[in-house]
Amino acid sequence: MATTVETPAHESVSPPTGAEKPGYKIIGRPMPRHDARDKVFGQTKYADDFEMPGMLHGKVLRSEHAAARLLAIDTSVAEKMPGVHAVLTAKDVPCNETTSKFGQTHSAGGFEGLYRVLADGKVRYMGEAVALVAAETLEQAERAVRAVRVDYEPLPGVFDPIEAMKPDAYRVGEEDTNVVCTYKVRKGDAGRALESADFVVENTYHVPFGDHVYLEPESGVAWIDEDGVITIRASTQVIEHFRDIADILKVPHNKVRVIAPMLGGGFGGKEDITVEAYLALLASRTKRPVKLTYTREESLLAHSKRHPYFMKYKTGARADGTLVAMEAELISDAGGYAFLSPWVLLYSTVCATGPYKIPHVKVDSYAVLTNNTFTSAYRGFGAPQVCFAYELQMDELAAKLGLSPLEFRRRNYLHTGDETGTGHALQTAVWTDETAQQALTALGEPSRPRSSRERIGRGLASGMQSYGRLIYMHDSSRSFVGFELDGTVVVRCGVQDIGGGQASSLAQIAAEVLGVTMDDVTVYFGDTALTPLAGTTTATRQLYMSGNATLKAARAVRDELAKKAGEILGVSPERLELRDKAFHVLPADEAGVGAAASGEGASQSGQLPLRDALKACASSGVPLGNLAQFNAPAREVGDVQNVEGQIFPDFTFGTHAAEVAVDVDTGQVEVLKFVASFDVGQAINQLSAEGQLEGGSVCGLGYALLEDLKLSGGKTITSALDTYLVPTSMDTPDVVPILLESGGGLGPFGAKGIGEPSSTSGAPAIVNAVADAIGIWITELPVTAERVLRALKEREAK
Amino acid sequence: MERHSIAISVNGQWMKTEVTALDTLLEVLRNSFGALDVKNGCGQGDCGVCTVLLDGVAVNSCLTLAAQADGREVTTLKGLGTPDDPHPLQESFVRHGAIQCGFCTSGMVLVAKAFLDENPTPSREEIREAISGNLCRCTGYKKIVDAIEDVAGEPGRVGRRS
Amino acid sequence: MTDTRYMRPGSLDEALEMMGEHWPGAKLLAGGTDLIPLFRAARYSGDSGSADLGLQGGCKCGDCRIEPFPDVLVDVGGLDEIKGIRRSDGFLEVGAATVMADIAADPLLNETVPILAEAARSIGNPLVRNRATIGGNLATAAPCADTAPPLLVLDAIVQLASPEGRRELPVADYFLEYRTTSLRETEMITGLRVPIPPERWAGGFEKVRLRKSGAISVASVAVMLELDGATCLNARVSLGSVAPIPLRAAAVEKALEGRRIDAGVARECSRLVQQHISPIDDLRGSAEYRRWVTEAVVARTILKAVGIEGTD
Repeated sequence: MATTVETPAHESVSPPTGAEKPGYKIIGRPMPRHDARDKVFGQTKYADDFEMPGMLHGKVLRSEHAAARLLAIDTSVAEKMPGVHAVLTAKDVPCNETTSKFGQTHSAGGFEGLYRVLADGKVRYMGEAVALVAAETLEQAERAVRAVRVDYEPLPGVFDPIEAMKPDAYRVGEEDTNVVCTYKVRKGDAGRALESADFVVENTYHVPFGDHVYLEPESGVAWIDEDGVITIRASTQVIEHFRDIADILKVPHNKVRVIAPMLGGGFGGKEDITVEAYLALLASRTKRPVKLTYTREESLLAHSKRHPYFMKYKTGARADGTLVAMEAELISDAGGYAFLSPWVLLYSTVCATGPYKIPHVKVDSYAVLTNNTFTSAYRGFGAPQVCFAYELQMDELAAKLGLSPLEFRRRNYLHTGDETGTGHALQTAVWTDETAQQALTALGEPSRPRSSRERIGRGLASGMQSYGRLIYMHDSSRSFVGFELDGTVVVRCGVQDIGGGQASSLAQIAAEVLGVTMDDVTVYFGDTALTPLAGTTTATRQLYMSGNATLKAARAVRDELAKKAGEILGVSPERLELRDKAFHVLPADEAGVGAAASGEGASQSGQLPLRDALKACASSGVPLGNLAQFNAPAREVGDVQNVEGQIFPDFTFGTHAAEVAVDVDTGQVEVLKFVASFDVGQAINQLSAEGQLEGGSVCGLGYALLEDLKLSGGKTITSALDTYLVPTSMDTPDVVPILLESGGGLGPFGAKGIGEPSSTSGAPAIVNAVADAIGIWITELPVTAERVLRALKEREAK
Repeated sequence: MERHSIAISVNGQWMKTEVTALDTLLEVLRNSFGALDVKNGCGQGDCGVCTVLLDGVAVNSCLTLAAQADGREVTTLKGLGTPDDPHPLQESFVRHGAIQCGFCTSGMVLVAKAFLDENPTPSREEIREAISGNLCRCTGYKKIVDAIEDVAGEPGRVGRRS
Repeated sequence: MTDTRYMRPGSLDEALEMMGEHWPGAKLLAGGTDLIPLFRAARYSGDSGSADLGLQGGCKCGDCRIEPFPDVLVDVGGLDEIKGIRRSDGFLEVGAATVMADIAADPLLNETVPILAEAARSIGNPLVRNRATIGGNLATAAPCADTAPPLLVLDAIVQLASPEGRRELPVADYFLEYRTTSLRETEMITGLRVPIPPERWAGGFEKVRLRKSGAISVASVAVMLELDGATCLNARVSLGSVAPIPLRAAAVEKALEGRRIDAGVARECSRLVQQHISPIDDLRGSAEYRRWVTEAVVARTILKAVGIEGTD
């Protein structure tokens, strides 16, 4: 039985004060984003758009085998080829293996992972990097890579995680087992409760490998600057890999600088080190700048993938429609190297029971190495996989109970104060119920079939997805906000902008607090040398973390200025509102301060231009800027395997509803209507928030119907974008985004994160809609036309 | 190695270089002519980020040999409009929040421009078909369709730059 | 990297001369949408075996064949002589270098042979269609060439030219075996002559694919029926992507002729399609799936041509 876990103390950024009236000027509006203008005029310099004089071109030689011993590598021919400046293998890497904290600063046992730069001794997946080349031109580098002679001794390998768990399975790594980690959740007695449940459903679900297909392939340029600092400008979600890179090169941490320009998409695929280490090594060896950009085929082959999961679920309910127990067994394919697999598995474990009140829970989860491509972070980070499973369980149970999918869920949704599957009592807003009702309503009248070969169906799915990192990580973020003398504002923050408006949100927050317009704010971001470190752009944490840090810093700056302005105007600072570039004296009652307490006459009025306040501060030693740190809730890792209590700061709750048309001749599924309803706490930028719902929904649609990164014997056979299919504009309807704003999130202004949550429940909503249309739940993704037709034919045959 | 001298007008400016027969227009635009607003996403016509207008027609520059563009006019995003003189499509994309990571934007704006030149009053379905060779992984396409639809309607309004 | 020479002839005769002079090292280029990815594949393959790694790209129709670099690329894409669509006596003349976008949008084609326009519109995506040509679609001779089934049921004629002269042959005689055509050495396709179907003919086309744009067909069906009310006087049925070549389903055609078509008849006749097709298992689908959908889609395309909806 889980012991009560003390809710860890966490810092809460205070809710909006009287001086930040709920009539926000900039927060919550549909503001055009800063970076949008640069992008639409073609001025943004992405990683591959950058050049340095004397730049060489890098290329990676990759393993042709999924499992093999590396007997010998002969680089002699390659080294002598025209234009070649360096050919590197594992022996040339000062520290070829390091333990990565994946951008965190706190050592949390069980959450660090082996990072091996170049294959050494054994290769563990097809496409693993074996050697690096730098040459004057790209063609020369390509030719030199082909001239490196590698002697492999192929080994049998293992390609199925269930096989890989067996005691006599081929050992992928150097340990005695292929099991990377395991977790369990025990609440009550699920086995006994299931035996006495009135209705039970049981099923096995399978979801495949997936690729992020960011349109910008991995890329970067590295050089050594005039101070001997190895500088890497790369498309990355984590500039704080600079520590790992320094360790790899055996140089001090302050001798490596990582800069993240605007990314052309990340989605978790640029969360691990991709090109950075290779670039640093080649630049270091050649003493020349080096550029390395992956081809699309190389990206599909060799970078991290979404984890396949095999999931066995058993769920029981009482006759009155309330859930009584859930058992889940989760097995994830970690691929050739663990990377973030333990973390992803933990997310799955915590979210395995979904947004429901379930008194008895038993979850066992395993991440297992195989010789498939390594798997790591992918939008949703383990939550979408289990959401697919539990939402199909919910619909199946509802059907058995004779309740509608919505009604059954409504009897079981978590609300504020309830405990999650791991016993975390939720303190913030939990509006799943509301989102579900709105989502279904927004589907409107059912569409009529367009032919006699079409069946229409509707489905919904509710999800649960954390925002903010595991609290074991003791996460923190820093931001600097400061005024120039002319009243314009500078924000410096290490945030990485992967396209979700991460940098622009900070401008909005600063502008709101400091009474200026967004155009008055310049954001410097993503530079380990020049911007305070804000942590990774992952885990839907940036708005929460750097947003709060920026809010803190902006408020601190405002408060200092308000003190000075108060002195000048002869009122207490509580009476002052900073807006439209001036301090305005609020009438005493509006400021929420009694006239007596403020010590002044109620009729005092007046204003002070911002510039005057700034001048006064500058002259009297009052700082015009502030560097603030925001800390997320923190917890020590006790028994990491027993998952109980609070693991995340908070969750975002929402529901997808879909209407589909199924062609019973071909099995093709068309999504006719698609609704995404989410409580985002407070939308900072309305267009951005809608954009996340719309984009996340189509991510779910791709997962449901199209995306299947196929490997066979470890070889990637969907090797380009004509075989790995993602949704085009014709494959999706207009998503209807419904933004609910409870104000009850932990982020700035009560915001919750939305980047990943919006992508978690889309797929099961579609699959449940298909089940409504044809009466069959297809338990494997993607729900291709062939799988649908096969299911129909099999039923016909019975 | 066999080289060919070619001249291509890029956004109204004639530029010359030497290419091999198999160099693609994408490679030459980015590597020889500095047109970095043209992006490289897949190299074989599956993603559309490399879209340019070739004599006003939207094509994948990765599926066009540079030599095939010899003597012809290429329009890239920068040739459509600038901050001082923006094209209505560019303003509309910003206004509608149709840009997230921005990597598909160049292709989307150019294909939309060419499409609206031919079909000034399209339905949303027609817009979706017109951009169906341009992938986007961020927006879910909806705001892109909104942005294009907003500019459609008046032939004169869009056709001012050919 | 290569010594390939690019040549742009100013006329058809000049193009033929180049073909004759440089054969067998001469390769025709028009749209390049199939050819250029193959060159990309060749660039990334090599003696270290990286061809196997999928680093190369290309492979538009599922099999990874690496195109060797030619000595000479003869670019006929801009030759006005072989572009354009016009009517001439009872025929439509479509130049080989006409791009799919123009075929899809052409009012004359849409009025007289809409199934050809529909097939063209289903190929690739709008950007590809602005470059890909009908001549290229036939020259590549992939089993999944989408213009082939409509051309087969329209009894189109392929026009060919070589330095030695001109000739024509029915499209049914053009496809011989897997990716093997009747094209002789130094010969090129210059155009297609499509007989305009008389009034009583109606057609249908359907392409089954995994997504709605940028997707090679899993199976495609084209049908032309000469009808008297719902009675079929003459039937032509063609299939793509389910055999080594695009072909006509004679057994289905024979079974339809003389019948009054309804849902039951359509289903009954469409079953006969199985003896004509030999689909494979590949990334896009299994052979079994292809058999199922081909039969179902043949039936409903027949009904669509007759103007009946549904096969319930």
